[in-house]
Formats: sequence, structure tokens, C-alpha cells
Amino acid sequence: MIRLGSMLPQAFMIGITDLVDMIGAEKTVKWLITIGRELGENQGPGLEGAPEGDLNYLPICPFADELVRFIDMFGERPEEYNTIVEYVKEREAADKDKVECPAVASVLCLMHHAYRVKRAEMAGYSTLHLACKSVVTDNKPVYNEEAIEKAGVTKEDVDKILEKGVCVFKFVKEE
Amino acid sequence: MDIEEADKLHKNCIKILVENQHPNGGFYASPPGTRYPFIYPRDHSICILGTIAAGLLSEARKGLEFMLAAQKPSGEFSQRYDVDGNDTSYKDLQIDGNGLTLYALNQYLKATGGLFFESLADRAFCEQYWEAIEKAVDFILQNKNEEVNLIHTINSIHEYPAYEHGFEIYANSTCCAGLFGAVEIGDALGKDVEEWRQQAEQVREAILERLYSPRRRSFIKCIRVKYKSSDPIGYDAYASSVIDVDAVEYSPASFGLIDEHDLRNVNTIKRIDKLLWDEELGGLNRYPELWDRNNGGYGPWLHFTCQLSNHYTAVNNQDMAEKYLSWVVSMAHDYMLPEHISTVERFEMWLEDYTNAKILRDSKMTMIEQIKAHPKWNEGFAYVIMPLIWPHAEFIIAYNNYRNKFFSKS
Repeated sequence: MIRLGSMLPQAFMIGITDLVDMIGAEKTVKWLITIGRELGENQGPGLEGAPEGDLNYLPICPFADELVRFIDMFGERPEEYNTIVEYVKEREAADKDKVECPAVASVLCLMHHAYRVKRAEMAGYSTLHLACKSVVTDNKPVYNEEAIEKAGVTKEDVDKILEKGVCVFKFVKEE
Repeated sequence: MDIEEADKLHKNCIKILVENQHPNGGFYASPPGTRYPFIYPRDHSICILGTIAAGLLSEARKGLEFMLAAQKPSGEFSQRYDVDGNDTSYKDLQIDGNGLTLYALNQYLKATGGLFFESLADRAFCEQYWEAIEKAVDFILQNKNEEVNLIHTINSIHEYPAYEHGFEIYANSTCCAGLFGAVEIGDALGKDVEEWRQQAEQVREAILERLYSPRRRSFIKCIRVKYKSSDPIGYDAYASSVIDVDAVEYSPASFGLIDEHDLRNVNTIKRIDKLLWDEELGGLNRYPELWDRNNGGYGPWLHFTCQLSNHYTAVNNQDMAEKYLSWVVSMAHDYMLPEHISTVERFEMWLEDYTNAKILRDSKMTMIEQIKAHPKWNEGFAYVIMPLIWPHAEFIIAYNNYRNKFFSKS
């Protein structure tokens, strides 16, 4: 049951599914990225996550609880969410600069990554998103292998961090 | 108190403070390679106050420059920063950072002026950062609830929302003192700060009315409220009071909002001393053991013990001031101070609680290794986070107060 006071996150997630139906995946993806960047800009420069050597990671997904709640209420992985994730994967496959793309486990990773990138950019860093896992992928990791290579680490290094975290990334100081 | 030892500790505290200021101006909460090699506005502000007490005004200025430049666009100061001033926080709002930064800035301004405030005070520095001051004040006022005139936060000094989410006493005292500080700075610069003065006064009155319990004759910890704009707050989902004792219930007097001799403060201190003085170890605990968030084991904290000694010094109670400060001196190891001290038995109890609850995360494993590796472990003590820089600043302040009060007479 949605209590009225905590309705807004669920409303936002319903909005994403509606938007995919209304304007398609491409524009919805752009919209999510724009939201992430705007929120990032508002927060100012910042580097997210706990440091682990040269990498940073998040021990828990800030959106996991809301995602689980949403899936419990509206069914497993709404088709529209799949559409977005598939669209991003296809776009990524065609993208020569895949190294800059997020490793998307759930639809909210797009917004989150844009937020993280924007804040790091304001601090003078670029961001490599190496991997992430989510309750919606049954905690099966999603990797960005090009980013892992560019970060100078191995998949095993990343997996080791994923044992205690859900999202692995690297900030690279811009010259 | 062993004055010779206290003097040596005082001297080393200044050294530790200086050594742990990064060239960029930020004071590490604990040195690189230990648990908190970041700059936390709360710890950092107290370190600035420590440098001011030690007469190190250029270090204080550098610390303020670091903090003011790291302000977020919203006017907030985040939970923590890296040495380059990048926000690396991972916790929700802790608004006392705003109050403390403004308070420390005003203390710096007053210290630079001293007895010749009109001619010597570093007004140019405050003028340079006036926009940041305005934003910091605005951010505090954005979080003021208009029904009760108190400042809302999620975390405060213990970073423990279960007991601090709402209108919490340390957050309100620091923010109120910060608002008054901004008013004094504004006055010194010839700005129109009348509105801020009224707002600060409203918060002060609300602290004295709503965060004080006449029947208990004590300030209380917090009015739990989930949303800052709840009105009426009686219908807020969290609406309740935290009436447990907490060392920071001394904050209204500690930050100059009421007189040290005010009976509301005197009786609050009695309650704190009675319920939080550790009968086994000595020293002052920060809150009741049963809150059970006692990383490394329940036990007394050096900086809260120093803070409370300031009250006894202020009211001319040398016996009690000495009891508190001599405990700090006796607990120093190599003239350095930890965050807090526990016993091996309490440490094991905490470890059992956290292991069974499955809340023992990685960073705590490192902390456990360091506690066990400390020479005091073999004497039966758990020295937790060694050194933490904050208590060094508090000792400088407290011992200065003590010396000035009791030694200048002889």
C-alpha cells in the first residue's frame, strides 16, 4: 500500500512507464539524463561513493528500496523499463565511445549516473562507470568492459568490490 | 591535576592540530591512513576554534577559506569533503555545519580585532565571503519551521537520525549561534541584518521554550519531526520527543545563548554529570548506553568531557573542572587523544551486538584491527579512533579557559 506521504517516488516511477508509452524510449532516456544533470548541478561539485584503491563504490543502491516497492506493487520489471534498458544497450552497442556510457542495471541508473557525472565534472573529474548490479537484475552484475579496461583494472577486481557493493566507478582527474 | 602533564598535552595538541591541517586549509578529522581522513565541517569548525584559542589566526583563516569555498550552491555545508574541497558526503543533511561555520567565522573576526576591534578586525575577509555568509544564513532559515521557529535537520552531532531527525538541540544551538554570529559580522560590515537578528532571536526563544523541560529541569535532546514544513507538527509521522540525556544538552550555554549560571543550564549539567559520567572509566559518555550505537564499545568521549569542563570553569567550580580535565590528561597516550575509550569487555559486547545484527561493515573491521593493535588494549582499554583531531582542539580551548580562570589569580 502506498502511504500518501511516500507517494512521490512511486508516482515518478509510474511517470517513467507512461512517458515511454507516450514519447518513446529515446526521449525518456534524454529526460532522465537531463533530470540527473540538473540535480547534480544544483548540488554542486562532488565525488560520490566510498574510496577503494583508485576506484569508488556504493555499498547500497539508494533507489533499491523504492524499486522493490514498485515492482512488488506493479509487477516484475514493467515492460517499459525493459524497453529503456534495451534501448540503452543497443545505443551503447552502436556508440563508439562506449567507455563513457553507464553500466545500466535498472532504469534509475541512467538518472543516477548523469547526476554523478555532472557533479564530478564540476569538480574537474571525468567518470567511468565500470559495473553495477540491482535487485531488478537479481543482483547479476552489468559491466562496461571498455570502461573497466580504460580504468586499468580487471573484471575480477571489480567483482571483488561488487561482493560488498552494488555500483563501481572511477573518477579521473581532468588535465 | 598533573599540571606539568597537562601543559605537555596542551603543547602537543597544538602541534597535532597544525600537523593535521592540509596545505589547502582543511583539518583532517583523523590523519591520513586512519579512519576519517576527510574534512568534516563539524570537526573542522571546532579545529578552527582550537587554532583561534591557540592564537594561530592565519591557520584559522586558512581553515575558513577552505570551508567557505566548499559551500554547495544551495548554501549548505555538506557532511564531509576531500582535501580539495570536493563534496564526498554520504549522509543526509547535518545543518549544524552551517551554524558552526558562521559561528567560527565570527569568532575569528572577533579574535583578529581583539581589544582593538574597530581598527584591527579582519573585516576584509568577511566582506570577501559575504555572499557565502548570506547563502549560509538563507539555508538555515529555509530549514526553519514557521510553526515552532526551530531548525530542522536529519543528522546532528552524533550522525544518528533515530535520535536526531527533527528539531535537535545541538543543531538548533549551533544554527542560532551561527545566525547571531552572522548578525555580528553584518553589524561590523555595516550591513542591514535586522531580519536575521529577529530570526535568530525567534530561534533562541523557541529553544528555551520548546527544547527545555521545566519538570525535568533540563534541556531535552530533540523533538522528532519527519518533515521540516510539517504544520501542524502534531500530525507529523514522527511527532514525539527524545527526552533521554545527551551531553549536547549543554549546547545552549556552550554557544552563548544563555548564561552559564542560568539555572536551566546548571540543572541540565547536573543531569548530564549524574547520568553520563562513567563510573567505571571516568570521563563523560555522549548518550545512554542503550541507544546501542557504540562503535568500538560504549565509553567516555574526550571532547564531550572537555566541553563540560568549560561549564565548571565558567561557574568557578575548580574541583569539578579539574575532575573532568584531569581525566582527559590521564587518558592521553603519547600526549594524543582518541575519540573515545572503552573496555575490552564492552568492546566485545558491542562486537557481539553488531556481528549478530549483521551490521558490521568493512570500515569497522579496520577500526577493530586498530583498536586491538593499540598498546592500551593489553591494559584492558579499547582506544577508539586514535588520534581524533577534534578532542585536541577541545582540550586547547578547555585548558586555556581553565588556566585563564584559575591560574591568573595566583
